[in-house]
Amino acid sequence: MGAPAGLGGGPVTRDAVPGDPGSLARLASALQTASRVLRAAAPPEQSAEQAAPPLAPAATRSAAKDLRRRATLLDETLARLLDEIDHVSALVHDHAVALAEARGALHAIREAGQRAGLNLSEGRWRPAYGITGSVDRNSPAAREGTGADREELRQRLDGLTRITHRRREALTASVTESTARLAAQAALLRRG
Amino acid sequence: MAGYSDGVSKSDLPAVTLRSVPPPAEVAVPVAGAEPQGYAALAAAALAAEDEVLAVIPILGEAAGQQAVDDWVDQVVDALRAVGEAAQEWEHRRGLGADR
Repeated sequence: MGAPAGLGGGPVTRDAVPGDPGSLARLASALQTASRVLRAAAPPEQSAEQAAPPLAPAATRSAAKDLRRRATLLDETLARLLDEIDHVSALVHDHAVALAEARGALHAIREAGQRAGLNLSEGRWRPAYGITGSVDRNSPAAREGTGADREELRQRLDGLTRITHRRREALTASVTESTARLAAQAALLRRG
Repeated sequence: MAGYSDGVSKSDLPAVTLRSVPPPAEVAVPVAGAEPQGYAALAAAALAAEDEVLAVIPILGEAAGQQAVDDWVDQVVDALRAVGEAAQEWEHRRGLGADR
């Protein structure tokens, strides 16, 4: 399930468990900070009411009514935007944690392969260079290199790749839906 | 004691006490470097949030997922700009209303 290189905006790898959990955790953290900054700066609800003195002349009352409408639109859109940011921040954070765990599991599989004289390269097991295993066919190192061990390694790697792929697909679908909602909110706000 | 140069004696002036001076909070004097309030503060926060998000390069490591995340980041930045623009517009319109 290697990813085709050269597509998308960021680096793409042919790793069995692609992605950088650190960069995703940093994105989740930046989103949480952005959400916190926006919530702290959001004006209290009475701001719009204060802009509309009840006994003002008709022209001022009309302007005040327009201000109230715009304030309501801005407040509601901001609330939805913050919900989207919090939602995607949590998804990206969870994916970063799962990806870090998956990379740990991949490391363990790689080590098991090396004990069996196999190297994992671009998602495939290849014989390691140099002298591997043991002349003693009954030694643990020699027994790990049997076909049954290779099959078990392949299954472990396939399982890990499948789970990681499924998680990435779920994140991609959720993020794509969120992008559409954000675009609709931005357009609504710009219409005024 | 000599009087004031314009001929007004000190005793003609109203007595000024600390109680008769309005507290500083009632005097709307713009202060350089003061924190913005209301929607002006929101506009500034939207700009700061935009910088915060754009400072990170997330790496998903697979083309379709990477494209989706990159698109989301672009869109959330656009939405933050829309919030900032709307907040500035609101402050501008409020300023126009106050001038009437």
